[in-house]
Amino acid sequence: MGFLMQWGKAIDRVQLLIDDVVESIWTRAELRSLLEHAQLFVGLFGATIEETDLLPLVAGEATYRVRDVFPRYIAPLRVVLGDLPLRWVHAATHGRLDRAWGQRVGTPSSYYVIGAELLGFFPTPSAPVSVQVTYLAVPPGGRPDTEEIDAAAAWQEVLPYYAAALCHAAEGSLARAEEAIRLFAAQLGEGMDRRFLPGAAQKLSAEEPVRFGAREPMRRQGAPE
Amino acid sequence: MLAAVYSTVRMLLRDASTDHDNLIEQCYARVLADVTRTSNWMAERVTIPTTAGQQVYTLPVRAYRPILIFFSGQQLQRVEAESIDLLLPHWRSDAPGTPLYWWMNQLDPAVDALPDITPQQFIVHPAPSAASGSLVVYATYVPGVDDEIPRWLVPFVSLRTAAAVLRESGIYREEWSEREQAAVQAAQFFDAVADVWRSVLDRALGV
Repeated sequence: MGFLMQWGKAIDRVQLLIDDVVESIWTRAELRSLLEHAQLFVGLFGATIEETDLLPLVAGEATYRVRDVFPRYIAPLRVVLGDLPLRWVHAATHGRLDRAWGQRVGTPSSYYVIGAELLGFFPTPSAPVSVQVTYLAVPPGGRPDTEEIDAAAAWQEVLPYYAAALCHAAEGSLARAEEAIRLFAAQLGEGMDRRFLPGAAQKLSAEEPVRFGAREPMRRQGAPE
Repeated sequence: MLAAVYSTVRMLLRDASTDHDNLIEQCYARVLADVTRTSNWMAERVTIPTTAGQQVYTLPVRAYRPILIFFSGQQLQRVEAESIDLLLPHWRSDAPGTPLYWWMNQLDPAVDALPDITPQQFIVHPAPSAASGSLVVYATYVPGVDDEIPRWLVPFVSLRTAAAVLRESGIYREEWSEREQAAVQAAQFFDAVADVWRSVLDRALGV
């Protein structure tokens, strides 16, 4: 378990790693930017940053570009209508079962994705309704350096290595860049969020944990090849 | 170009000047096109009006590959051009009706030997008989360099763009200086990190 780290402390750590404590090469703003990229990376890797918001659906409109409504949206983790969880069903499955599925209207009972941008609902809503979407989110940016990093404590200590690796590479110090990225990857592996591992990998059960409404790729997260 | 990408690329290049702006923009455009060619991440819905009896339709310029096509709420089934030629050899002269199938226009193998060209045209069969209607097409698209892209895409495309700029800014010469060699190695490193981003994004997005 790590400790809670402020953005400013993380920047200090990067400066130490790249021997640039006086900002002669890299500004603190630049290092902060790279740290935020690192935070996004671990958020994607471990699905550690999620948000829940209400998405208003329009009658007769099946698909929505979610990032127009939620700018930090990456991918859906769970969708609920009232107290009814909607199941994820691949759009191709709908097409195989019912070629006229685009004509079906009613209360949505399932959702699908088209590309990474569009979230669709089946049947097409017959009346305006809002669904609660829990989604993998881009971490919020722009917080003061005195605030704590948004990523969970277990992940915070790995972030400076990512930033340092890119700094070293940009400066032409490839050996140091590779060492820093190796440390980043190694600690990332050790700190993998075990909630997303299959049961067998957790050595708890031969069965995959039941994840309410989860999409298959997230269930596979971290699983051995 | 998107400010977040632009600032990240310039930061990675350690070049605050505007000397490489044109090259950065060209490389960024190519990276966006490559993302669209190799993934279904960027998808949008387009509506194409139909004409009675017309079989061939053209995707909008920035669309790249249809994912799903609907006509009047009915999903058209994708088929292969070779299969249609075999099973419905007279499809060109079949009577119009309600479209059931679609396929991409077939390019002459002499033109597309690999084949790696996606035509802009696709064919529906039967051709629509109704005087007016529309096809709803969900298709991948290539974002423009000034378009807002998803925030999660910024680090990945920035790394790829920075690597491309380093490779193409006149650094491949017979006599490399130490600095030029470092630039090539940095490009390789940025690409390697981008590869990891790619795999993590593929897994998280699941598309």
